[in-house]
Amino acid sequence: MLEPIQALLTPAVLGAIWAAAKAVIILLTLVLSAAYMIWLERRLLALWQDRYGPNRIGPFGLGQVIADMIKIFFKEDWTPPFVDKFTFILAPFIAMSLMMLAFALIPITPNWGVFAPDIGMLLFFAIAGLAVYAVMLGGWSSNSKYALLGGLRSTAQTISYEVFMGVSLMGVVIQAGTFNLREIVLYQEQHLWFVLPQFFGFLVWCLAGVAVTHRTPFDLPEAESELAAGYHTEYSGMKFGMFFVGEYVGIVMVSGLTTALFFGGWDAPFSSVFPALKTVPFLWFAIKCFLFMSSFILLRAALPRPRYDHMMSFAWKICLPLSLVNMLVTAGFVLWAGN
Amino acid sequence: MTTSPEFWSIAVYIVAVLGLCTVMLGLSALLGGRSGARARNEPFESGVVSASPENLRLSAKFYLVAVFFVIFDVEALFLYAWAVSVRESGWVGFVEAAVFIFILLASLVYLARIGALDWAPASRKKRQALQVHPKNQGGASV
Repeated sequence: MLEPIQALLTPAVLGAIWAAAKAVIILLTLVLSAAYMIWLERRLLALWQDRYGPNRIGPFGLGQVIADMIKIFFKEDWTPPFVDKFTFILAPFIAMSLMMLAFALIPITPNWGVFAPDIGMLLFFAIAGLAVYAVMLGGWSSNSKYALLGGLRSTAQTISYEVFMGVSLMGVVIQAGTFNLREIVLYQEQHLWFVLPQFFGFLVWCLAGVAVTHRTPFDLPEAESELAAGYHTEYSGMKFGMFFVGEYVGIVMVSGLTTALFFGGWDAPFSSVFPALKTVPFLWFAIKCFLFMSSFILLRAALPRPRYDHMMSFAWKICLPLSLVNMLVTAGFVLWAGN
Repeated sequence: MTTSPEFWSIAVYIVAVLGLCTVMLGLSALLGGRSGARARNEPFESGVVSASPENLRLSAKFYLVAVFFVIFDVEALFLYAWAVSVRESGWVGFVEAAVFIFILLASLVYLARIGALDWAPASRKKRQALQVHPKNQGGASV
């Protein structure tokens, strides 16, 4: 009886099953870290604001996330009668799924990572571009003034920051000579981490990366004091929850991407001096990711929200020229050093 | 059919992502309660009764930003193609890209000079500049 099963389990099939299992494990880890990011944010904000934060359910309040999840599933799934129904439901779907799909491109360790195509970075730009539709459609389909205004503001802001997001990463591409994220990490294993040679690119990318996730100080689309909740004013229950979780998945994704592009991915620091450090690649990836995720929270705790017109002119007048010049200087340097 | 492990890994990943999102939407539709109230089927406007459902006039600035995005992002695409082949295209390619980038920067400066990137209209800016805010004077005037 076992023979036909054994015949089916050729190395190719086993490899495919193992690859599929890895993909599922990565996705579950991503969702879990995004969920616990909410807990971490509430605890850290509380710490910095001299209060406790959620500490009742489970040890250190770790059960809070599960309790909240159960609660939100039992909330009324309300689709208001005045909305454009299909688009209204589609928007949170886009918000969450695209951020998760983008994470597939991130190389985690030498052997782990869902997908490393040669056009990896271009694919990321495409996904980040499509993510604009979540806020745009969410705001438009709500048929509500706050939502429409918030959606428009958010769209204008996101596309303004997307223009130079790509250009800011081109310095990395020029030096590594590839769009493949895995090869970019491998290049950094041999050379300096890109945060040093591409420091200006890194700074501009940080701004663009925070803007992609719509986090403070770029959370003007949902500026609660003037726009109610912006594009998701009319959303409630799990549909709002998906926008919310999508934001945290976005934080994990952008942190992972920053790690891979500028901080050597799984590469250990000082690995040429202490080769033993290289034995735990996942740990290094996780530590770096965690630091960036925490700095997202620190940003929220430390910075006030800028004025909308300031932010827009900052994007166009400072970040875009800076990233263009950075790209040109990098290319000149690479050619000069190569000759 | 492709049978490389990577194909299976990305295929399963995409299916799992779409499935997870669908389950999240579907579960809450199944589990959630239902309720009704008199004024709940109106768009939220901070409790004020909506004056008009339509006629939300939006600043043309938003469309301007969209057009700039199209222009600059499409031009950035040409730069992506150059970025990945800098070593191959050498100094000739560098000079060409430099000319291209300088044209981009010049158009950006032009846009900034004609005020296309300023969010507030010029008239309001002038008014704001002329206005003396009492708070800024330390309460001395008024």
